[in-house]
Amino acid sequence: MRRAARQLSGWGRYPLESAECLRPERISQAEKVCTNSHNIIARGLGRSFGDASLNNDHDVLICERLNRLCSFDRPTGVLECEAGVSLADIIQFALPKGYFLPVTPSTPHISIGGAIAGDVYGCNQHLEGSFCQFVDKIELLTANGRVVTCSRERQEDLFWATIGGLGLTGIILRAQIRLLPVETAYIDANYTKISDVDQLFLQLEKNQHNCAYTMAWLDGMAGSKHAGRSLLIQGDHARYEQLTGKMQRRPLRPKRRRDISIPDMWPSWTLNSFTVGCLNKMYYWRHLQHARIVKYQRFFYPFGHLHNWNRLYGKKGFLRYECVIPWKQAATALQKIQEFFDQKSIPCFWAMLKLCRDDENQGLLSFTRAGVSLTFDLPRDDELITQLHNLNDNIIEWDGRLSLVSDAFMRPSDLRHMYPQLEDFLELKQRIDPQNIFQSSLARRLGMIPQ
Amino acid sequence: MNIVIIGASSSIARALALEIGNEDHVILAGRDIDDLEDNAADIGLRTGGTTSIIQFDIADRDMHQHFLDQCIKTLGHVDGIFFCQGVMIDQAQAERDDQLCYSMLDINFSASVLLANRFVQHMRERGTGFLCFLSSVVGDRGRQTLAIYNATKAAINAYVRGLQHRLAGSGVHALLVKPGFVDTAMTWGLYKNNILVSPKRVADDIWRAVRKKKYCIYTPWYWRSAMMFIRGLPRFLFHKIRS
Repeated sequence: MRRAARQLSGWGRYPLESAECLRPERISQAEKVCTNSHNIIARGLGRSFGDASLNNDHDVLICERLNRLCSFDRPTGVLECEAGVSLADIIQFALPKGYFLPVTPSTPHISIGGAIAGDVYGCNQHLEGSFCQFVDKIELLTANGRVVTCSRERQEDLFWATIGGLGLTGIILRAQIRLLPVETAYIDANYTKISDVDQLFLQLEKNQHNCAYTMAWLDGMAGSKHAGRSLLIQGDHARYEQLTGKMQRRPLRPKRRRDISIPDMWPSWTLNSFTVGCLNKMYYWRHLQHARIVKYQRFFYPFGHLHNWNRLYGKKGFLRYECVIPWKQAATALQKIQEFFDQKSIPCFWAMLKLCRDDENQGLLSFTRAGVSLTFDLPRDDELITQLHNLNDNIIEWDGRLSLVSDAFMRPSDLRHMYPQLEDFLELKQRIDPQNIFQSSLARRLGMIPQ
Repeated sequence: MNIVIIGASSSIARALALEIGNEDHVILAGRDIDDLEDNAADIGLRTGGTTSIIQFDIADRDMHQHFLDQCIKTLGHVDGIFFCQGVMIDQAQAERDDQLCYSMLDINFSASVLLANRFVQHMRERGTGFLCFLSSVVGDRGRQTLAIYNATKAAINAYVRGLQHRLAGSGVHALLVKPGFVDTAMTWGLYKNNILVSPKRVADDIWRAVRKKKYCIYTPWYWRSAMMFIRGLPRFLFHKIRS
């Protein structure tokens, strides 16, 4: 296979690194990859925010063309597909047949391989768990060039290491997932305005089991004075009877919104405190209706039709600060974090809150744990990373952890505090990949691979 | 419609089979039988149509008649055939290695002609059908980087023009497709990203041209004017551009 020299970055556009890219068109080509590469990481659609899918000056295996659906069992909703199939593809395929994704992260444009390697979660994490709960089987290309099928029964240690394993255990070639049967493509959504942190957590505690989906949009620019100004967004899959006439005609095939591709021309100051402040206010006040039936795209992916929205942050890019904090400390943490951003005058352009639970079975490096996950998008500048390191110390103090998929700035010591099962993971990696064929910039930065 | 796609593992062929849609019966023919199986399953699931596979190497001339028989056995009759097979071997390598050079000439041109002969015969007997040949914009004027490859494409161009003339009024239609630089395994790593277009866009154009019974299309459309300019460039200028 030919290699192409490319400049790659994660979705946050930082860091930007060069890589030798390989792109197999079929599984048989991908299977040969271990024989002619000694330092490689798989990359799907490049939606991880930091350097999880980068491999500075080494090989990157781009899996976007491994996107074939293999089989679908209509009565049970079990789908087998190759790793490069995107969640959007799956929705497009399965929704007309009455199935939907059991777990949807905030964008549909991620590959199945990426969803497994990052163990993504959605706004039903506190009830259903993360994506891995619906993965039955993984076909993994391991370091010795052999394809191993792992599942909860077979090779279970490898299965749980691959889930959330950031592609460091091997290359995911195929996976089998279970889909969720739905009656319509619409969501019975409920938007509640909330003005402060205490009220937010009160509402969350009271309502978290009422609906299938619960999340909160936070006004990141609200500052410490209005910290917690937010919209509580809840929803259930709408039943057929709930739809109005026009929707009832096509209950499973709603019209798609037109895609808009954002050009790469914006200076880094396009999104600034003023513009984002205005946008946030608009977003907050727009939801005047309290309950209504909305299309699934609008509920799960409000910006799903804006392609390349990361370009709005300009060349400097942005950092995503994604942490999960146990319930007890969550309210204080949210207040503190917003105060911290306010003090250091760090503008925060997008912030979300989701609820999480602990699962008995979880990937060794899975992010979620019982508590509240908070996500902040911060435009990058040079001081930001050192400031965030200070915040990381607080997160450790609250017994929280940061997501590795979003991470571009953690230190090796942070990782050891936040992920207690790291040693088990590294031991397993040592066993199945002694030569460290699978490595990424993130793994090297965090000291998961001896230099 | 019953359609045969030769070289069905290529990404343009895959996009084409997805484009063709659900009312048709498509035969995917190619060498890599495992990949064809995967493709057939994918296309069947996504479009809901019927997809069959036949293992076939166009370079193996003795198999051509057998292949046509197999197609007729599976489909009853053939309404259309797409020639998507093709190899591109680096000029320097092709100059050194006779075997490789010959295989490129054969797969890209002579074998296609021999196979097309048989299908033309079959379609003429029925008085309907179409043949679609994937050529390339580089066939319009040979360049130093891929002179031999360009020659095979130019040969296909000339052949299809003649075939169109011969088939005029017979009910059988021949379409010549000249794609620009498409984002496939063939071009991976050779060109800048911004001049490549997705196979889906090319497949979209091809299928539209087939339905509208066009004779020769450039895809994307702007290559028609670009190539007109390049063809018209005086030699002393053209020879200065040697990148």
